[in-house]
Amino acid sequence: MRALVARGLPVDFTWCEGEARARALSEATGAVGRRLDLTDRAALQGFLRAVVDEGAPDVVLHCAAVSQARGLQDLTDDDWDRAVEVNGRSAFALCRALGPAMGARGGGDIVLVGALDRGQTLPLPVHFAATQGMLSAMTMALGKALGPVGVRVNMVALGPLGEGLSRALPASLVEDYRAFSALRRLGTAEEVARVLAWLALENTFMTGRVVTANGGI
Amino acid sequence: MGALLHPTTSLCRTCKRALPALVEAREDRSVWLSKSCPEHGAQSVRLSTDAAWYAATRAVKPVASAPRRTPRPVHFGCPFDCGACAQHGQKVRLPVVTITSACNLDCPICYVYNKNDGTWHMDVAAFRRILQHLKDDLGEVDIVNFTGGEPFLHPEFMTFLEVARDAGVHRVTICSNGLFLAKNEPLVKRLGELGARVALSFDTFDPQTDVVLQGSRLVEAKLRALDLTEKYNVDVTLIPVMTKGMNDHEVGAILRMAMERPNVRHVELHTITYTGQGGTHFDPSRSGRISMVEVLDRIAETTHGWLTREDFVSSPCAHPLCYQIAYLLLDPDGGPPVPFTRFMPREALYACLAERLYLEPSRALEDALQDAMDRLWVSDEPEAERTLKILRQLLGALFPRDRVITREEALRAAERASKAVYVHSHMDEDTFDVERLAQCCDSNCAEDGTTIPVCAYNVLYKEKEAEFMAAPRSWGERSGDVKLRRLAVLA
Amino acid sequence: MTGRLEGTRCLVTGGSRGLGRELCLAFAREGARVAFTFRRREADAEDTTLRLRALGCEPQCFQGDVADGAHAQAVVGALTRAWGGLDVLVNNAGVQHVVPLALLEEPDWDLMLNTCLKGPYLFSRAALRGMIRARKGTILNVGVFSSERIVEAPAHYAAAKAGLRGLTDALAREVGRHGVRVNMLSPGLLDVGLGRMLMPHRVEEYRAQAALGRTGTAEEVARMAVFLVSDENTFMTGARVTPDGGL
Ligand code: SF4
Ligand SMILES: [Zn+2]
Repeated sequence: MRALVARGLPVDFTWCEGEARARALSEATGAVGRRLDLTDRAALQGFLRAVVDEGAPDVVLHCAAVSQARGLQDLTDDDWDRAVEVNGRSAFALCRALGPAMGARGGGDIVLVGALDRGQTLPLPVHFAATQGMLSAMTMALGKALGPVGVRVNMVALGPLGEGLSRALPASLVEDYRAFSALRRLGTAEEVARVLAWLALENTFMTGRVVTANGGI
Repeated sequence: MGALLHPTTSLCRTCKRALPALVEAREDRSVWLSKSCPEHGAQSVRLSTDAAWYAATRAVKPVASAPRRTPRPVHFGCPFDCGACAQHGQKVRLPVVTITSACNLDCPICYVYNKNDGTWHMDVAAFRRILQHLKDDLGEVDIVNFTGGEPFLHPEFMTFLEVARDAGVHRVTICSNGLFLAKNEPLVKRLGELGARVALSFDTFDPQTDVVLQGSRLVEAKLRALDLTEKYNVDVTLIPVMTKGMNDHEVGAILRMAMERPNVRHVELHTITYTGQGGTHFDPSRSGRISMVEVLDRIAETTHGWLTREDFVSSPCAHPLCYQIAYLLLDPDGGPPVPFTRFMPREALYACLAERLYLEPSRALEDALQDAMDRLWVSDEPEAERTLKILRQLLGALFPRDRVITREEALRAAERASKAVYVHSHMDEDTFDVERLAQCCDSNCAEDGTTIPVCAYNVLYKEKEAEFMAAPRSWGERSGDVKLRRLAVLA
Repeated sequence: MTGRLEGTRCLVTGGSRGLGRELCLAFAREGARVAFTFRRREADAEDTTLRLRALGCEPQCFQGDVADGAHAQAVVGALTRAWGGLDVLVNNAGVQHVVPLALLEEPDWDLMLNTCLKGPYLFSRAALRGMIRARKGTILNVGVFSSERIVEAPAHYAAAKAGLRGLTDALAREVGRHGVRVNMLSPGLLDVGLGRMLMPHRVEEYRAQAALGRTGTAEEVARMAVFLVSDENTFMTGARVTPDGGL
């Protein structure tokens, strides 16, 4: 988000749990933050309707995701449902509400953030992997669905960063990544933000695709 | 009496009223159309010399492609409701625009009515309206054929070409006897620049025959027109009208010339009709009448078999008895041309012709060629190797490795690699068959948005137009009664 | 205002026309130093040079066959002497040859594989010595949409470009630890090259298939490429970027 603000663009964002961080971000960037629980269907609907009413945005980033570093036996149905709600369904609801509205305004870019391009083989938490596959396949179909109205939809598949959701990955996996990825390091939020900004702002001819920014795996 | 092949509706050769008619095969395998006028008596005409060919060809169903707009109600019954009416089976694939009644010749065999005293010229605004109507009907107009008279006699002829080009028509053809072109090099040059094509009547190499058919010696002038069009890259369609005993033995020579001259893209062989001011008086016994299948057989004889009956398919866009089409691949190394049917199934060629009257690059054609290449490649026949080599050279011209060519250059290379032979059989009062008419896709287009199949136009409708006739006829009482109408529907 | 590639030393193979030329121009607009190679088309190379000069960039221009190892060595050697090193290599040179298997002869295969696969190997190997020594650099391989999924493409072309994909992945893994990034850009049908030669019905087919309903421009693809080779891009390696209009 800071990468977008740095380019002088007006930005709104949502948050759910990290209230202190959200406030700090608002203060530092001047961007408007709103609390939103993506598992609350009514709240999400209301939020999306409000966004459309205010005038559809040019760029939408969907970065929200949840995961728990749990083995197959320990995963509950609730873990599954929550991952599907946040990682998958909210992205779907967002594209369904905002995509056509953006198209009506002349087009735009939606960038979904995920972790897999379906090319990797990694021992990820099962529910998380499932939602990432969902996201990348959905990106393909969204690209087809929204292309005709001039809205591009792409996904960035990130490798583990030194922060954020990567802390919900098994530690051994993160270590392996550090040792075996091409660049031999984890990413930083700042550098993947530059990739997101590039896709959101400079791409004009790619849609429905997953681009990896993972240091080479 | 022979076996009934089908009933239809025809016309009286004298009063042109609609008559119920029967098409029958006789003992000697010939096919006859018979009818009887209450006033002018029984009439019959031979339609074909080969009943089996006639029946098999007639059995080919054209692709259903009704016109989007039918400005005329079904009222009198076919062929008196043209415009088109709701019973017509084909949309216009070859829009014909008659732009002048003036002609610089008076050919004995001419099948249209022309008038040189008080000549009529279409004005450009009328042509613009015609284009608009066609666009409304067809979505895009990619082809227009100008005819007359002699279209070059229109004082504003070039404006017509420019208007057509600006409207995105990419295949403009002009029917001409060539005299004007032979004498007017700058005109030919301009045609080349505008990408226009000439449909040049060319009936014979023999000066004597020339005099009989066209009333004067034109061979030299026509050859000169061919030289000039070649010089300025103007594509040409040769239009020889076949008359039995007159020039049918020359068909091989004409085809050979067409194969050799690079700018001749098509040959469209017509069979003689006895309509029009010349046609009705020339050869009163009508002994020169020749049928489609006879032309095909004359082709096989005079080309020594490099083009035969089996190399032709019907046009899916028209009645099968109206158009027979062969495409040939040219051998850059000088061997005889190879008909497409020798390396692809006839059904494939037929399917490739479904969209347009002429073969254009398409997915279907590409697939058919790809199949053909695979088949040729796995074949052991010596002829297969030669054909494959020709196709390789063609691909090399389409996608040269040492330079980048534009799409236009590629299209031209593709066009120049092959030639087409069309046999097109028009109808006159004698041979008139509404079943064929209702599947016609060559229509004369008028300013008011009506489109009239050219045979109906030449035989019936042009008489109604004062522009072309000294004494225009009224529509009269020719249309049939209810019974006839039912026959027309059946057809 | 300084460009995003200010002072960056870039080499583009096959830069005399088409996408290669647009890449040179886009890099120059962002302040890069540009060199390009070409095989035969001197007039086009001259034209590219003039256009680059108009942008205030004095290009280095080399004639030769990318599949010739000596040529690759000579080009990289000359640039190292002139510039002190190389930051960006774009393996763009290719051949367009459309032919079904029935007509695909051994010389066709060799020419295709040599140009589209051996060339990138030779140039990458030549350039990587300096890049690894400097612990900095990036390679961008230009592929094509037909290597990304099964679409109709001549077998030798698809094979070469799929090979290039493998080369990209392997090189990315091998040289990443030295801070060198290797990515692949696989554009769809553009207003240059094949896109200008194909029959209209093929272009129409493409438009109908592409979600965005159009073919692309070399310019927009080149604009995307700027980020990929710039210092802004630090975490993408072994990645494939496929601007193809949503095929
Ligand atoms: S030829 Fe066609 S338009 Fe004319 S009357 Fe017959 S069916 Fe109708
Ligand atoms: Zn009568």
